[in-house]
Amino acid sequence: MVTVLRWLSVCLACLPSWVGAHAHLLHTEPPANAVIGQSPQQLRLKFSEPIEKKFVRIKVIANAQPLPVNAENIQWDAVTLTLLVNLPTHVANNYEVQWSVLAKDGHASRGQFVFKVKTP
Amino acid sequence: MDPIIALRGAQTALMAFAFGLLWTTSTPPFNTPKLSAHRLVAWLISSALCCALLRLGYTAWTLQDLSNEPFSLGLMVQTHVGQIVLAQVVCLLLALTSLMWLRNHKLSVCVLLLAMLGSALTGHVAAAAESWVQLLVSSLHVLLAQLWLSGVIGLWWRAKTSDAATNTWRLTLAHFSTWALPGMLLILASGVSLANDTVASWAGLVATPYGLLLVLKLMMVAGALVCAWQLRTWLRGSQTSDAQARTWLTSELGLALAVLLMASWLASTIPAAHDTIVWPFSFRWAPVLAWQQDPTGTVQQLAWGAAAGVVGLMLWLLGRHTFRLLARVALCTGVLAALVVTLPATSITAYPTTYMHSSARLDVVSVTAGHALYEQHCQSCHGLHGHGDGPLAILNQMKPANLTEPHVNWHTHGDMFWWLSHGKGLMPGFADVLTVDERWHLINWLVAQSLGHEARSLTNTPAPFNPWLPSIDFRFQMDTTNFMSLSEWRGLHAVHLVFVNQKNELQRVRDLLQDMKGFPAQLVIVSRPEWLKDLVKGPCEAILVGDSEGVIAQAWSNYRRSFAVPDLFNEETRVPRMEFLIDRYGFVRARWRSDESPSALSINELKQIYDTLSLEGKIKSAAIHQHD
Repeated sequence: MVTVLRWLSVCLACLPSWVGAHAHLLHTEPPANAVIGQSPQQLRLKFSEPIEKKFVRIKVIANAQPLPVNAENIQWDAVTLTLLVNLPTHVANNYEVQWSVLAKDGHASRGQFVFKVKTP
Repeated sequence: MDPIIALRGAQTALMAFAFGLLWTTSTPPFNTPKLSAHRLVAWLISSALCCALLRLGYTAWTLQDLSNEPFSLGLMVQTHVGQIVLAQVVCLLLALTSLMWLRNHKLSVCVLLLAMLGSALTGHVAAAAESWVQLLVSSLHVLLAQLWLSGVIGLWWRAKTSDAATNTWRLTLAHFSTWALPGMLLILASGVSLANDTVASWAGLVATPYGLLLVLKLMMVAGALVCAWQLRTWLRGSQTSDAQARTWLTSELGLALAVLLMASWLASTIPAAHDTIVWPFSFRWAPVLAWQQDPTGTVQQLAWGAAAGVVGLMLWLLGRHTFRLLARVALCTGVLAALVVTLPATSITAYPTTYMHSSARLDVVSVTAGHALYEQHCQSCHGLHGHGDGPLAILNQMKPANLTEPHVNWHTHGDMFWWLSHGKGLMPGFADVLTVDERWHLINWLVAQSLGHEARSLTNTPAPFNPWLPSIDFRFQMDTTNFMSLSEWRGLHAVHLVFVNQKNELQRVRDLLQDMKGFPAQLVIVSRPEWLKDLVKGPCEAILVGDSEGVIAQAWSNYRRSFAVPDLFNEETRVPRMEFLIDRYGFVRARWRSDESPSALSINELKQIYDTLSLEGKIKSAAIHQHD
């Protein structure tokens, strides 16, 4: 019994993340760190794998002020694995996007990216 | 460590232990588990059940942050994984009940198997599966791997609890071996299929953490297979003693656990297909490119390599009976010499950035920016049209590369990035002058320019299963709030793209608007905004893109060239009307110019082409990543 428990503990130590991959953000539109011509009406976040649409949180900070983004403004395109975020009409030149998603495999991941607008 | 990952791993391991012990103790000669094994299995199932419940609870707690809803298990059940874990909880409860109270161990085995299938369905490959076939392959791989682990654990337990005299574990091993070999073959086959999706290229296998872990995992599997082979020969009555066989079994168990360690690392590592590849070698194996660069030298070296291999083989054949050792040495030397000679002949120079993906997509904005940068930094040497005939080059008697030749696209974009950053030959590096994005824009323009010259071979009928010319993406405004990109149709359906640069060509557009209804393709018309206003919308729901500054038409004019009108010196960049057929994976497959015959296809002919294209299977090629 002791030997079995010893082997079991080795096995458990060996198996920290049997199926624990993340949904990786592959690219965004506007791209991270880009300088674009005008304030975007929509953000696009392309992920490496499917996510749970119900468990998405996007926070957009434009010139240090959060923009109102609610669930109705967020769409998930399951074919292209892209999250579409419609933004209200606004003018700003410094943007920070903070995102948190839950992958279909149950793993939560989060991150942030910034971009700028040349002429607000 | 992420508690969810640890709990998931622990649950899977505990279920595998329980299944293995239950299986090996209920197969002949023991049809009913012994009491000690029985209690241990019950304990393992209870522990797995606790892990599943903790997993549900912890995930629901973390989901509060993502959903703005208070903590409840209901939150977890709204997710794909939550539903499967809940089903696993039910299965584990059933397994425990049937074992402890119903005393039906066969039912326990069945429901435990179902719970293990749940683990296979919550894997990230299964979650990301794009089709039922992929889902089936990934689930089969994980389930069979769990069964293999269970079997090895069970065997090991049987070997531990039976003495050498009774030797009952040999019977269990014989039982296990009957399905282990086909099972392992299936694991390997499904693993290759999964690796094809997650690694995507040989470079990814060699130069990414994911690829290296995968190679390490394969080495562990190979080791486990050697152990399994030794056990199989023991079963067939070889000289191996019982003690040695037990050592082989313990080694196989150790390697099986090492394989799982690798699998767990792999599962939390960025798949090579999505990772940035930093190439560690100064060469890469590319026989076709090596041959194109130096056909005579490559053929000569290949001939020398083949000769060395043949001599080694001949010596081995002649002396394999009389001088066994010498014959083997000769064979090995011959093969080694063949490799040493042929590998350099089939390789070309590589750089750390060789397999790097562009950070700028091949789109109109990037190509336009790249053109402006070319005029500013490159034109003086490479010439107005990229033919390598710039005034500075002529003045200094230099011969810069002709950027319109096909060789531009023989190199990877990463190779071009390296040359642009660090220089090549007499060309200086531009790392201090251009930003990373600017260098990629410039490369995109070079690629579009070179592809444009290749586009001369485009015909008015798409060659079947031969996509090679990526479309140049562009973004346009649908209405006051919505924007779209051409690339958004990728994976959905084909696009019929029409550029109208002369007003008298609008009649063709009117015909298309009238007749293209019901096509498996989206009609997109790009023209001046004031001309588009004159168009009356027909039954076909077309997308009209106003190109007021003409930048979209300018970028796409790279693809105007044909053998009849090669236009090598940009005499006429704006054709009155051009139509492009873009397949549903974003590749340009056919083109029609208004000044060539046929200048357009009839609606019926077009319909036939689009119907044929829609039957093509999914295109999976490196080109998609390159032009994405």
